Amino acid sequence: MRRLGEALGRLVVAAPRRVILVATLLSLVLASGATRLRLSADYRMFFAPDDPRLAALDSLEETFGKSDDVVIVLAPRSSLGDVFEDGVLAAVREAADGAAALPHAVRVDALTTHIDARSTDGALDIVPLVAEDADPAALAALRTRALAEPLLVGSLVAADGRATGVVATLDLPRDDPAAVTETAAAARALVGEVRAAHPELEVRLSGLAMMNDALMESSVADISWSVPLMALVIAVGMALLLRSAAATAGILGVVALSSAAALGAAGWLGYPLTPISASAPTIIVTLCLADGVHLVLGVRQARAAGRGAHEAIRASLRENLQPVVLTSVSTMVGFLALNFAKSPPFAHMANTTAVGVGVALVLSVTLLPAVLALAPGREDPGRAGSAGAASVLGSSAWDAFASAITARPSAWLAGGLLLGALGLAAATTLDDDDRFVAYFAPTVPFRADTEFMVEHLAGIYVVEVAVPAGAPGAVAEPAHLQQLDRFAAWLRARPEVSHVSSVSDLVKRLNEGLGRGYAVPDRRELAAQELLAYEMALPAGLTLADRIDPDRSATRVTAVVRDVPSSAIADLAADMERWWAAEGVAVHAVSPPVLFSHLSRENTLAMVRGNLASLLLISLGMVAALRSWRIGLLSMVPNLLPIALAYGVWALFVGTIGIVASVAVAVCLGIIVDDTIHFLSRYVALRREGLAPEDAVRRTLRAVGTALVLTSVLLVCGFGVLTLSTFAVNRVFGQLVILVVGLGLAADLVVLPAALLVVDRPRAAYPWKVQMLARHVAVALLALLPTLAAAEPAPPDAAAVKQRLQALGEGYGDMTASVRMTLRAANGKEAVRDLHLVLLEREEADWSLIAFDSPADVRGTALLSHPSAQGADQQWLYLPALDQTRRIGGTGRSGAFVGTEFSFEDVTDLELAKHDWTVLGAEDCAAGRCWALQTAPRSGSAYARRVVLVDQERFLPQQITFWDARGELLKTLTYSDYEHVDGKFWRARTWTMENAQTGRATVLAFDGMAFGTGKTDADLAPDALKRAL
Amino acid sequence: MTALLAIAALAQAAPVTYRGAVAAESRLYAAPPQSVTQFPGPTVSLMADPTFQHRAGPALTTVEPFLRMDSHDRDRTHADLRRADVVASAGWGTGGAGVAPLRWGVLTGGARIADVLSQPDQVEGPATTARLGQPYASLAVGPPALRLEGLVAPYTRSRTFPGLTGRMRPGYGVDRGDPQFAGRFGPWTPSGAARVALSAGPLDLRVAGFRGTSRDPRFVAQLTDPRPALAYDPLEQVALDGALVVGPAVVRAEGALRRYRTGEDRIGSAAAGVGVELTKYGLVKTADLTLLVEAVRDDRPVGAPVTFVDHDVFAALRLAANDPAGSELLAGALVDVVTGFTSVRGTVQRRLDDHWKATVSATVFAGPTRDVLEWWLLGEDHVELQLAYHL
Repeated sequence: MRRLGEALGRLVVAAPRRVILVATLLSLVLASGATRLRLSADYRMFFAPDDPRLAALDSLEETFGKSDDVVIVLAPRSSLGDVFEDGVLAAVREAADGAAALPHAVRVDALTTHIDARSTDGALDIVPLVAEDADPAALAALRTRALAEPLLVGSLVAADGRATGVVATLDLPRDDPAAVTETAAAARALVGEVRAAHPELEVRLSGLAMMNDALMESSVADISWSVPLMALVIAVGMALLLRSAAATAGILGVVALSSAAALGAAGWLGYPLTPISASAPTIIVTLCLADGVHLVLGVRQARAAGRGAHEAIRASLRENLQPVVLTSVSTMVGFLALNFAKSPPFAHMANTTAVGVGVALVLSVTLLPAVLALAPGREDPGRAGSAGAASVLGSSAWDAFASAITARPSAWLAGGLLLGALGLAAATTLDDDDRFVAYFAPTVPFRADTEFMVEHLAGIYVVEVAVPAGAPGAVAEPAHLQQLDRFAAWLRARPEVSHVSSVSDLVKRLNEGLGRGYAVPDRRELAAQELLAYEMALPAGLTLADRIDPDRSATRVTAVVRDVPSSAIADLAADMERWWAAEGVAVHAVSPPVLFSHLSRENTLAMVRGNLASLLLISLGMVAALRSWRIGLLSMVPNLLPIALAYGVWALFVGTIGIVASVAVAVCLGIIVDDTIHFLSRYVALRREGLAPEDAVRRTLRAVGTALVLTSVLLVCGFGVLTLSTFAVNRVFGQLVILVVGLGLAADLVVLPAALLVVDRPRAAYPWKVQMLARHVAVALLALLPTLAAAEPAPPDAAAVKQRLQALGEGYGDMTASVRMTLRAANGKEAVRDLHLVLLEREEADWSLIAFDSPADVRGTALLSHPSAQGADQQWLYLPALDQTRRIGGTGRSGAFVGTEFSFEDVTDLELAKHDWTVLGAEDCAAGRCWALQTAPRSGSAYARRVVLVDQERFLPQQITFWDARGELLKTLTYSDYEHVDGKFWRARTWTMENAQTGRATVLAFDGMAFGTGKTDADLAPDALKRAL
Repeated sequence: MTALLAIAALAQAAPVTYRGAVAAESRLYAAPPQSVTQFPGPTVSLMADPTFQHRAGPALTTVEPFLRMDSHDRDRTHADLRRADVVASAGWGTGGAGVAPLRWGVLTGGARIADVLSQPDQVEGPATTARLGQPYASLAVGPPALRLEGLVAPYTRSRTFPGLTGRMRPGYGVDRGDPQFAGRFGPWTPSGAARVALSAGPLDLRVAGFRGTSRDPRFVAQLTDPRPALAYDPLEQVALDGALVVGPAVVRAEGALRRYRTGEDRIGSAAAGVGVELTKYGLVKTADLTLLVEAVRDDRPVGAPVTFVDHDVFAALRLAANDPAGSELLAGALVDVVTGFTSVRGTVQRRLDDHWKATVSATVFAGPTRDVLEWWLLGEDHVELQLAYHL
């Protein structure tokens, strides 16, 4: 990665103008797709097309008509009057007439359009409820009748008679968002007229169509002001903190082009713009800053160290490319996890953001350095140390900060973990409810009007069922009507239900009109005739088609629900389905709010899974990138801690959270993991340079601390813009992310260094006195060496020994042998394994195939290795139980070979060329006198060094001692029972490996060694493994 | 009988090598069965799975009979010839013919994407890796780095399922009596497959085409029997699978485009899966830890054969102590990310001596509702004990 960074740096500084031109042009080509973006106001966008509940709702609406409506609420301002007054009824009449003229209106229900059934002289009289010219007595009778009518109370008239509603049912075309806007505008104009004509009345506007319109308005508002405002906030913030026009312009160019390209990609992909996906540009702008800030500060630090302008750019790219790539990829992973959400807008937002982050990655390492290369004078060395970002917190401040951490790391870590645990405990109390109306800010007229309606008249939500009667015409069956009646009574008894609309109420009223009492008729014919008579008497525009299906085989029952949490709506729907299931009838309780309630619940579950997958992938990525399990897994602490804490704080101060919670976790993971990666990348690099943990922490804080603070400040400012949104999902999202980013910064600057200081320690450091003693002994031995060497022949040249050892292993072609492996535990207990071995000589490194013969349960298990002198080894494993050959990871070279004291590194090719050889001198060995040679690996070994003893006569290896990274003796391998096979090849028949640190040993006894048996590449190919038994 | 004759013939020729096991198993369920026809108590079964091999020059003959005797499920008591084939290899390629459990693909979490050749022996368990012996003849040519392989499978085996008395059986059981094969010659309608396999450095990549009878059955409702019958439709598939070693990790992926033919309907379908396996050698002393995560999406439109691994994430870990007793701990969870149905299995195994091995595993099934395809597994949580003697 460093080489790639260097190459990129050279390319960029060599031709900055061309780089800027190409990067800008490519981004603009992608951005051109933005012209294809279309706003969507249809709430169906939130559901997958194959959602079964959506299908059930579509079926219900197809049979009985749609649920989209506009509700005009009228209530006298005076605390004394009610709606049964001439003036109010006139206003209702005007509103009803106006509502009938609304675009796409198919039906209007109001007190003045309601048709009543009453008994006149024992005959059924079906007449309008409100007469044209009612006198006071008639109005009093109307009040009495209306307030006793279940069909009206809680729907068209309040139970106390102080509010009434005019409901216009709409048939909106789904593919035309303008239809909602057009209808909403006309409804607002109508309400304006009614208000002007009747100032004594409170006139409000609500309904599902108005909700859709409010959703669309929020989208437009978010995208039209939040992005420009954020750009402004960031430009000002960066200008203040960086104090560099070139750097500010470069970073702003990157974020602007990335946002535009992401929106373009969304257009090319055919994504519609919804309130959720509209937040993507805002998020992209915020996320892309970090990469730019790190690169700019990297250039500054290099210039402060005395490097030239172009050299500093190359150095910054070299140092920062890996963390920048890692952070971008992890952020993309975090967002792509949102594809686990079932709701398409969340996936659209995630994919759009992921594209933006990807484009920003490319632009940050091309366009930004190119801009810096064109204006090098602005990044002069003097600024780095004295002004701008670096002065936010100088080196001495970071040193003081580091001292505070290093003084008591355990206390900081314990404190952080304790707080995290408390946060997690508090977070478990979070209630995952959504209140849909509360999605909108109190300042949004729709919310205020709807709250008024819910308080004074009726609920906004409905839950509906289509109840099958069993056969055409069977809706008039007394048994069916009685079932409906019982169901309606059961619904009315539920506290969350404000009104129930059921045909059974109408039939009872009609039956009463016939003088047969307010009850369900006892004969089907009678009920059918009553319904027919009523329908025939209805004026034009009103039918029973919205309650009864055309062939009279099913009826619709509607429950109007107060402003309750989403879970209560979902529970009511489930209870309604259960009620009918107990009656032996299968129904689906549906409505848009029911769909959204399930969406909330199911998305949360899906997102939790997605977040877990994302966290696992990010952590594995860290393990792979940092090449350290301990530190890679440790990265989870600063990533999870702030999330747990933030949700704990949210639980304590807010208490409830909806679908946005799970989405925010995924986004927060992507953002805060950036800081962790930048910190750990630098820390690990410093540790590998040999610095102690304390020094590495101090230097890391100095190097990246300022950039972390800066990016966090900018992120908080950016997401602060989102908190001003009138759409609660975006608003809460912004608030949560700010909380997490702030806590994440604290975790990365305090808890992470503390955790590193506690965890990243040598496992068993020797006391310094022992180390000093060892050093003195070594010096004494070195002093003695010349004396000892005087009696020996002249020591050979190291290269010559290496050549002779290499020659020992060459020219054999191939080899087969049986091996008995004896594993000896520290307590002397032994276990035996048998295997056979095939080696194939190759120019680069020899191939090996090892197949087990015993123990019986692993018989047939075979391992094939194709080592590489340059790159990673390739290995395959055949498991007979699965009858399958699988590739296995090739870098477990230091791991134990099938539980023995040998590592993979010990049993594969010696790779003599990968070591530096030094002759140490001569010493006694089992073969008499031996030359001692030290081999130091250049890279990729678990050993710091090995000491090889070769006998002075034949130059055969007699013993190898292995020394670990701490300089301690780890193992000793002794070769014995040499055999001159076929008179050509010296091979030791017994290899004994003893582990000095554990007391365990492994003995390999070779038997039946044969050379030149004619094995070919095909015999040591993966396909051949299953034939190895 | 064929197997015995083959073994006898091999024994005459000697030397014959062998491996395999005989085992006694018992399953103890946590809850009573969902149907009165299912046996409520613990079940006991005996299993034998020996493998005999004989090498004569370039030809390797393998015979692997399989026998299971179950105390309470007559359908689970069954015998099979897992493998009886001859494979001959030369420098230019490899040819084979006979019966074998053919496996293509690289994923391990139960997905059947590239793996279309052999039939799972489903009666062994819902997540079994066992395959019924598949008659075949194949020829692979080319160097190990680039192989071209052609394969003909003249017969399609029907899938096995637990019987009426058996636990963990789909729904009300499956009528295996007279499966419908849509091909012209019924189960004898031949299937053909071709594959190009590339192995370059850290990458293994294979592209395969298959045309023949789908091994995944469609469940067909019957008028006279509450149990569905099995129907096997023609299938055309192009699949890609590969493995890439990236540092300590192995990334595996499979993808397939398919077309089933059900009557006059042609049903397109696509599937893909990706997984990462990471092994940390010497985690503690000699112990190795392997972590595996796989995600599968297998879209099966209405009318296509169903699969239980369709939108699933599989995560597993294996902790191998590498001690003389070969102690191992395996834990895995398969989660359907759409329905939430989850199965979790943990296994501990340990060698008692050079031949005896004990295995204890526990399996738990969970789901948010019973409205899932695998509802019949809910409540079938069980512990399985196995004592095996390895030959």
